[in-house]
Amino acid sequence: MKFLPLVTGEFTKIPRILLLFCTAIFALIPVLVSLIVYKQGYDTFAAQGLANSSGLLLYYHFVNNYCVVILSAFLWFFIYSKENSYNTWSLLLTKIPYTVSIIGAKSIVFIVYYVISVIIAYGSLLIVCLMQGISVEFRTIFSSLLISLLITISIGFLQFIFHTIIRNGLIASSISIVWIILLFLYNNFPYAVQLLFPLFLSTTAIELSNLKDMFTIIFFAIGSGLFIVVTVLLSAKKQLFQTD
Amino acid sequence: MDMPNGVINELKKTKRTGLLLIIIVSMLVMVTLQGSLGLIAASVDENSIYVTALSMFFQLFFPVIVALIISISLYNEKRNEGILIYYYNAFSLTRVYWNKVCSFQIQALAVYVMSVMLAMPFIVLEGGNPLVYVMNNLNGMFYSVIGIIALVNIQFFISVILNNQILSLSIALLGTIGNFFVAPSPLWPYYPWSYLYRMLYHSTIQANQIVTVVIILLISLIAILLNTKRFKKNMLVQ
Repeated sequence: MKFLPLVTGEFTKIPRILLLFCTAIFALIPVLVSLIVYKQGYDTFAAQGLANSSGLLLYYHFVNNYCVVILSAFLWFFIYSKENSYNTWSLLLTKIPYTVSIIGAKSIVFIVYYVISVIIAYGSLLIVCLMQGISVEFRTIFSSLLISLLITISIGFLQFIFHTIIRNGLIASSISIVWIILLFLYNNFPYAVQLLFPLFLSTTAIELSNLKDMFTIIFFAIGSGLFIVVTVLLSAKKQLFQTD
Repeated sequence: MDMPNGVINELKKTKRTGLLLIIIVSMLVMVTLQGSLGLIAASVDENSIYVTALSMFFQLFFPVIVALIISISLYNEKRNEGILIYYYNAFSLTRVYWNKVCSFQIQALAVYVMSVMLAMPFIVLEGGNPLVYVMNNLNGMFYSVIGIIALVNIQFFISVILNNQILSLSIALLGTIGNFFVAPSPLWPYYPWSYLYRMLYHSTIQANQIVTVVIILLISLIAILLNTKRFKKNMLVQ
């Protein structure tokens, strides 16, 4: 069986309109919160020389990390854990013998929804900047777009690990509170953990590159890509259905 | 099924899902971590160690635990078609609804009492008397009970209205993140997920704010009173 029909088949299983609606909401919440904070504390932003789009974007990334955790928990529940609750892994595996291709197709569905959320967020950010008269620096917007597309997505695949371990989807998605707490305690971790743990990659990349240095962003993107490939390959080793 | 037996039945159903282990492990880890950090810190004395030990648990974990208890109960009920057995044996579904509400309130209050009991040893280790502390802060604990009842009612209302358990769970997760922004602001009486965290600092609560919380509690009670028809429809239509 070819790979492309498998991906389109995965798209037909999930409630597409509900997921699109929710990804749009989860993409718009950080934009709204960062806009409110930017408007309220305009003087403190201006004192630090951040009275342009980069000040808005720095706060956007801070809120976005929390929202990506919840969005990924929500998406993986429908994409992956529904198969556990319907008990359909064995049916799928009679048709397609390779587990890697099934999980690859599922992760492509996740990536498509994630990219849609990023497009909605940056489109609305540009509209907000034009309407509120915030000066736009295209270089910082381009580098932060790269951070969102390539580095922040590793948080979604961290959440995927919970869904592979725990069979009940509701419990697996509620345990995502662990990632929220670890993000909250970011400053208490040693420097090596901040550099290497996939949850902190985007925050560390922003701190090191300051939304300007393109080389560090590409370096971190390679790391998160490696992490995603390794998780997909390792999760294919797991026995998906229960044998009697 | 009469009231006490029905509530005990619902409690047994929750026990079978294995939620108890997750709740106890998260409580032990968070409260003991925060409490031991408070013991090390020099600025924390016996009056503030209670707040230090419980603030993170009440801010982040408690709303999610309440949402998880409600969501998993309704999800299993629908998936295993348990409500049909009540229907075929001619039990009133309204009675089942109120049994569920009672059991959720009991479980949420039990989690609250357990976490308060866990924080008591830290007061002793810091050199204070827990009974004296509880006597001095009884009104704060009374406010907390009001807040918990309102939170459970609103979460149950959302779960039944949306008829989609993962959505109501992710609303609760968003609510915990909103705590960072809303709880310090004057808008907190209109935001049920921040009640328990805000009630820890009960000495700064004004009278009009607690009146707002009580009004929201009454509104939530009316809302779940009018919600029984929706519950029957959701549970019986597959």
